[in-house]
Amino acid sequence: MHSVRDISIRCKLTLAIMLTGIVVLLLACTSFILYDQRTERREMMHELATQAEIIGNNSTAALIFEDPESANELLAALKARPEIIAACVYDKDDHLFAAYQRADQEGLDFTPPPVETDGSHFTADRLKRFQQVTVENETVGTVYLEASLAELHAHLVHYVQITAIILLAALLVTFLLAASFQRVISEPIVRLAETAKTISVEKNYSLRAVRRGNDELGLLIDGFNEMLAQIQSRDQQLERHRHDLEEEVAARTAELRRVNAQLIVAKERAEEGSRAKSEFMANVSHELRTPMNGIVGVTEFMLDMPMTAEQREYLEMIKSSSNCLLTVINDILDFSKIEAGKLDLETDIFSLRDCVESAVQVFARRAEQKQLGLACAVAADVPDALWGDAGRLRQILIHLVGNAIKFTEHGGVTVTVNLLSQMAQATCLQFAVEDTGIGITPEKQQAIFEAFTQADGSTTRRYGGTGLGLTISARLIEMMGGQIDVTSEASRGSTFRFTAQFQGDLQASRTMAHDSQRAELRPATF
Amino acid sequence: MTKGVGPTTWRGTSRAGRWRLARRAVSALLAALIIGPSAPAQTANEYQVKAAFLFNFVKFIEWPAEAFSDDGAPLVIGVIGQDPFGGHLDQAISGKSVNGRQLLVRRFKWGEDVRACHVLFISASERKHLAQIIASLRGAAVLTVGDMDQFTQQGGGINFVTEASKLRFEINASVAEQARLKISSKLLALARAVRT
Repeated sequence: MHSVRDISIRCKLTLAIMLTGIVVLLLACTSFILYDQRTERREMMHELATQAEIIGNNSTAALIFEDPESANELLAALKARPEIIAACVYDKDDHLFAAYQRADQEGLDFTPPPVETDGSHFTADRLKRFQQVTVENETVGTVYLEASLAELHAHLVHYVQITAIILLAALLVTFLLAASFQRVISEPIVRLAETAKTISVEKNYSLRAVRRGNDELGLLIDGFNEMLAQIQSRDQQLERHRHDLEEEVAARTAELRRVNAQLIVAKERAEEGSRAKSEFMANVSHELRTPMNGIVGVTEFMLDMPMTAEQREYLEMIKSSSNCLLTVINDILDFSKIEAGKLDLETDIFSLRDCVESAVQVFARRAEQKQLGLACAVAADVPDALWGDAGRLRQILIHLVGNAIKFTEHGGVTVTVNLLSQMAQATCLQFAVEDTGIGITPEKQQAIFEAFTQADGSTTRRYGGTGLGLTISARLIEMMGGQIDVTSEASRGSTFRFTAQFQGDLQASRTMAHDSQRAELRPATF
Repeated sequence: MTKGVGPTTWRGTSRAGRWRLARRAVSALLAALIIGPSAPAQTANEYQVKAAFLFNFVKFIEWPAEAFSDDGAPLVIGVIGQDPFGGHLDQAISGKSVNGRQLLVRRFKWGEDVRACHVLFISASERKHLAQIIASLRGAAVLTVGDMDQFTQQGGGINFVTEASKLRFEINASVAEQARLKISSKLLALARAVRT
């Protein structure tokens, strides 16, 4: 069943009123019918008893003088009583004396029942009556009457029909009355519900339900309105708070913007300053290099002149120191250029093997002096002709190999080049410079790529160098689309690996690769 | 149909009453088997039935008050002439009373005064004296009952007849009226050939 809770309050009220009315009416009608049936039965019983008595009385003579015809005639007069369908008279020995059966009772198979003692009793559709006949206190016979209850039943049906009609009429009247009465209760509720719906749809908390009376519904509506008032005031408060918050946020944002602008200005100034510094350093380095070139040039020139051994030794020292200083200046100049973003890589075709060999070649003598092995190996599949900045690649290799030789006392240094990937446009190579030197502790391994850093402050004193070399190399490698890392074990050696991408010239690479099939491990000592 | 409401006695039913009923039913059944259902008139003693009739007539007839000397006076049934009932009539009335009056049988011979009785059965033996007897009863509240042809026509009150081998009776209502007797309509209803 559809839940009773879901039907509208109007229907509920109407139904409740109607149901009550109908139930009351039904009870009343049923009681009436039952009472009526009882009364009718009693009346019928009484009437039948009277009838039996009359017949008994009238049949005394017939019984006494044993004249059944007369008794039959007597019974035949019962034709006037349609409800009596059968009658019998028994003599004093309970033999059937006279009998009567209503002619229009078709199919009625009446057999006179055996005599019973006086009294009436009802069966489903009959009322039966036995009545003794006495004369002078002597029983002379018995009368039996059987009446049909059809009329009684017809009455019942009739009453039920009337009741049904009354009920129908009452249903209509109750419905009309209930429909008008229920408004007293339902209308305020329905209006309240409508108001609540409007409020929830429109979000307009300034609406109010209209109150009509002082009953519980009035209280309910008051409560509802009060609630609305509270919601409204809270809404307003919230709105105020929100407004305040917005203003505060706006103020803070403005302040932040101002501070931000200040910071940007400060940052620009700082960058400007940094750039200016780098530029200044670049300029200074450049300005320093010119006189240094002069010194070196003149020193070399003088070394060609005839002089004493002592003079020559001094001049050599000047030349060495100048070269050293020039290297430092060059490093600073490069670093400054990189920091200032002014360093650009060249793109030109070059031979990789020549580049690597020439870089290693630089250190051949020094390795020999320190009695170190120095070797380079370029894998066979590495193309020889590449597009890129050969000078900078050489600079990186020189720096790494120089470092390796610098920090190695025994063993040797090996440079290897392997092909990582080769595509139509880019060739990616991996370079490795492996030494058997003092190694770098794990803590220092990250720091060494920062500017002006060496593995240990003491190393600077022992081995010299500005500490800019690795930083410059790392930046250059980045510019070549690669990266550098180091694996090292203290006192066992270090391996610096870096990758770099070059544009491969397929045409050139094929011809040159043909020549350099020999690229096995070769000693770089010439 | 005539309606007359006589005194009715409501008999209570008891176990003994029911037993009596049953016993009565059995004996009636036996009697029916032996003698057939139809006619007690054809039994060995026709006058036993007639005696019962005679007694029963009394129940349906009202005599005027002056017919009795006092309230306790008995109701006398007279028989004149040769008594055909034997002892049956005495048996029929023995110990019975009607309307609080005891019943008495008196037998008369021809010539005795028969006005002292209430019912007079005129025996067939007095046929030749019938007119005289009836004449002598003129003005008296006496019901004459006869057992012969033309009895009522000759001024008798009730005459026994046999009709289809059943005992029936005729009533001459005007005779009874003259004798100031009220015959119950119930009795009249049973009578054959009622003369008015």
